[in-house]
Amino acid sequence: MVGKVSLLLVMGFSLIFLIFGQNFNSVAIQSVDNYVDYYNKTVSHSIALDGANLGANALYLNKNWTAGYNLPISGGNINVSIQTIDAGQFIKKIISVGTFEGKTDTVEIITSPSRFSRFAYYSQSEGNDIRWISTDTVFGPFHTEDNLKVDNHPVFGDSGYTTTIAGDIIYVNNKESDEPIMLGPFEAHRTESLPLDGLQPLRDAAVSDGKVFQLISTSNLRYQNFYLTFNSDQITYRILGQKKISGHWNSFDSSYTVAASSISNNGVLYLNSADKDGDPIDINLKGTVKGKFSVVGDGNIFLDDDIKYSSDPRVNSSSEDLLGILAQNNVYITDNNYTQNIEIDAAIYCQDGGFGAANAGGRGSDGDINLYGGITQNIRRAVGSYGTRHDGSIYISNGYNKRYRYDSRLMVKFPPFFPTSEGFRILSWKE
Amino acid sequence: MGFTTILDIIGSTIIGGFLILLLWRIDDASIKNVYNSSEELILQRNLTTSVMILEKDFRRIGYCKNYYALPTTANIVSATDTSIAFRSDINDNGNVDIINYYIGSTSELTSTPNPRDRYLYRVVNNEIPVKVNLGITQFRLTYFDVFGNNLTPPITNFSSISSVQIDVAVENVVGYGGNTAGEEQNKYSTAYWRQIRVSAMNLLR
Repeated sequence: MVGKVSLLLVMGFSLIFLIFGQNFNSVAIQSVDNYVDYYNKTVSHSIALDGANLGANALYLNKNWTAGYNLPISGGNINVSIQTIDAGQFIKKIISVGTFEGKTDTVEIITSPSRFSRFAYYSQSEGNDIRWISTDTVFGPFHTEDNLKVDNHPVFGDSGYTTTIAGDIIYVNNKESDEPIMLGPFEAHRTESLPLDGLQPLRDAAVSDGKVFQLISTSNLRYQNFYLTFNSDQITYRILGQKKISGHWNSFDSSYTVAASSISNNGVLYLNSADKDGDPIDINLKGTVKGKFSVVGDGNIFLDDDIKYSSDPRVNSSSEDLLGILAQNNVYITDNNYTQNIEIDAAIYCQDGGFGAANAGGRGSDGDINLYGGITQNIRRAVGSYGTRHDGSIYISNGYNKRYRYDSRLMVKFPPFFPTSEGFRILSWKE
Repeated sequence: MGFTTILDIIGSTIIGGFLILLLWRIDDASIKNVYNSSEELILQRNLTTSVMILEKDFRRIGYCKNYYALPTTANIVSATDTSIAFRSDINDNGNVDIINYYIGSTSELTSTPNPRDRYLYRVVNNEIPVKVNLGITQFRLTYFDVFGNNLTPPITNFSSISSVQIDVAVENVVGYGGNTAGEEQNKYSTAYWRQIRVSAMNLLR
C-alpha cells in the first residue's frame, strides 16, 4: 500500500515538474527565437548594405559596370545587380539583396554621375586675396578646392545643401568677427577636382549631333566677333570679320536666325574658332532661352545683357528651360550700359578661368548680379571691389554685389553634357 | 491494526503534509516564474517590434521614390529629444509624406498597472495619430552633425542633422508581485535598446 502511494507521489511530482519544465523551456526557447529572429534580420540588412556599398564602389571604379555580385559573406549571401533607369542621364539603380539564415533584406540605390552643374558655387582656386564678405550670400551647394577666406560673416548653404572645402576657413580678422554663417552641413578637407578637359565631351557631342559654329580664320578670311542671342523660339548668331578681296580687307557683318528647336539635336552649341593669330574668338551672349542648351566656347564668353529663361522655374516649377554656359577660359559680364543688376539664369563652367566682371575694379557700381543657377570655375574672378565705412559696414565701390540663388533643379537635372566629376551621387537610397 | 501501522499512518500524514506544503510553494513560485518569463518574452517581442518599425522609418528619412518630388529644404522638419518629424515616402508611392514620432505622457495611460509606460505616437501627414502601447517608458532621440558633434535641442538648423541615436526602454505593462514600494519598483521587467547613429543616407546627399 505504502509502496504504491510512494510510487504515485514520485510519478505525480515528476509529471508536474516535467510540465513546468516544458513551459519554462518553451518560454526560454521563444525568447531566444525572438532575439535570433531580430538578429538574423539585422544581419541580413547589414549584408544588403555591404552589397550596396560594394556595388556603389564598383560603379565608381567602372561606370559601365554591369556584372553584379553574388557572394557569400558573413555566413550569408549578397546578390547585387544593376539596372539602367535613364540611359540619357546615365541614371543607374543598384539593387542589393542580403540573405542570412532565411531572412532577406533589400537596399536600393539610385545614382547619377556627379555633375559640376549641381554646385551653386565651385572653385578650384579662390584667387588672390578675394574674400567672401557680409553682403555675400550663397544659397545652395558650395565647394572650393582652396581655402575659404571670409570677412564679416558671409552666408553659405541654403538649408538642405552642403558646403564643402578642401582647405581651411581663413578669417581676415578673427573668428568672432568673420565666422561664416553656415545654413547647411559643412565639411572641410574634402576634395573634388575639376577634370583636366571637361569640355571635350561637349565638343564631341556638338560634332556628333549638335551644332558647331566653324569660324577658323584663313589667309583670306579673318573672323573677329561672334554674337549669340537667344530669342525664345529662335536663335540668332552674328559673325563679324574681314574678307580679303582683290588684296584688300573688307569688313563683313552677317546674321543668321534659326529655329531654336532645330539648331542642335542634342542642345550643344559649340564655337570652334580661330582669329587671325590662331586664338579662339570670344562669344558675346544674351537673350531669352527656351529649351535646354549648352553654349561652349574655346575662349571667353561675355554676357552683354540679361540671359534668362523663357519660363522662370521660380514661377513655373515645370519649366524645362535650362542653360549651360561653358568657357575654356572665362565668363565675364561685359562692362556696358545693359548689365546693371544683370540677371543670369544658367549653370556656368569655366575650365581654366573664372566667372567675373570685366573691368571689375574700374567700372561703376552696377548693383547686383542676380544669378539663378550655379558657377563652376577654376579660378575665382572678381566681380567688384568694396570699401569699409567708419561704422564697419561694407559697401560696393565698383562692380557688383553677389546675389547667387541656386536653381534647385540642378540637383537632379543638368544642361546637355555638362561636365562630370569622377564620382556618382546618390539620388535616393532606399532601405 | 497494530501500533506500527498507526505509526506508519501518522508518519505518512506528516510527510504527506510536508509534501503538500512544498507543492503549494512550488506552485506559487512556478506561477510567478512562468508569468515573469512570459512577460519578459512579451517584453522582448514588444521591443523588437517597436525597434523594427522605428529602424525602417528612420532609415527612410529623406527617401522618396520620385526623387524629383523632394523639396530642397531639410528633410527633418522638427527635432526635440522626445519627438521628431521628417519627410519620407513612407508608402513608397512617390509622394512625400511627413512622419511624426512623439511619446505621450504617463498620465495618458492609466489603464495599465505600470505607472511609467506611455503611448508612442506615429502620425503620417495629418492622419489620426496611431498610438501603440508596447510598454515604452522612454523614447529619447539624440542628434549629431556630420562631424559627430552632439546637437543640443532645441535644434533650429535641421539640415545640420546627419545621424540620430534612438534610445528606447520598454517595461512590462503588468507585473507580478506586491504593491509595496520595493516590489512595485522591481516587479516590472525592463529591456533597453539603443540604436547608435541611424545615418539616413538620404540626409547626406
